[in-house]
Amino acid sequence: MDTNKYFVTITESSLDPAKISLSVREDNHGALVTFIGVTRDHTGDRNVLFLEYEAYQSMAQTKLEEIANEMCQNWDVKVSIAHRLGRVNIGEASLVVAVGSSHRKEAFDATEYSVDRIKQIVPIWKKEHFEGGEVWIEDSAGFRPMD
Amino acid sequence: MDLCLADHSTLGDLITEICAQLPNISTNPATIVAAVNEEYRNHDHHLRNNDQVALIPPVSGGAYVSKKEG
Repeated sequence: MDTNKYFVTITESSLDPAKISLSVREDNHGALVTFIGVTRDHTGDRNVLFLEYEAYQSMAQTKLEEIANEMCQNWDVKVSIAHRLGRVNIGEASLVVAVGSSHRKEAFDATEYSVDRIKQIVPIWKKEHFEGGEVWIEDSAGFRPMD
Repeated sequence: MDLCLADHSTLGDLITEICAQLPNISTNPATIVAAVNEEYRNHDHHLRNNDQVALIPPVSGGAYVSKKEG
C-alpha cells in the first residue's frame, strides 16, 4: 500500500472539511473534490433533532483504509476520509471525503465511488433522534459487504 | 451467555446457536452478516480458536430517506 497517498480518520471531534480538503492538495493537482455528508433536519416528514453514530471502530478503520486504497489503485488521486462518531447536530459534518487529482474527472469519479462503497461495507451505524423518539437506521438494500 | 461449539464448527453454526439462545436477534439467521477477525465471511467459514466474531447489522453511514418511519 502506498500509505502517503491516503489518510483515514475516525473521530468523536467535529470535522473541518476545509482543512481536510486542503490536506490532499499537491502542486500537480488541478482538482480538489470534497464530499461532505451533513445531518439533515428531517427524514420524510419527521423532524430530526440530531444523529448519533456508532462504529465497530477497528474494523471500520480497516474498511475505510481499504476503500481509500482502492481509490488510489483505480485513479491517480490523493485521498483523505474522515468519519465522525457520537452526536452530530443538524448541519454538522458526519463524513468528509477529500480527493485531489491532476484532472477533475478522476477526482469526481473516485469521490462518488467512495461514498457508495462506504455505505456498502463500513460498519458504522446511525441512530436518528427525532421529536418523540429515536430509531436505529438500517439500509438493508445498500449494505452489500460480500460484493 | 455460554456457547459450546464442536470442533470444525462454522460461522453459521455459531450464528444458529446464538439465535437459538437470543431469538430476538433475527427472524432469519441465514441472512445475518458476520465478520471474523474484521473480515466479512460466508456462513460456511470454519472457525478457529480465538477468532473474533462480530454480527454486523445493516450499516447506515450516509444520507438517504429511511423507509422505516419509526
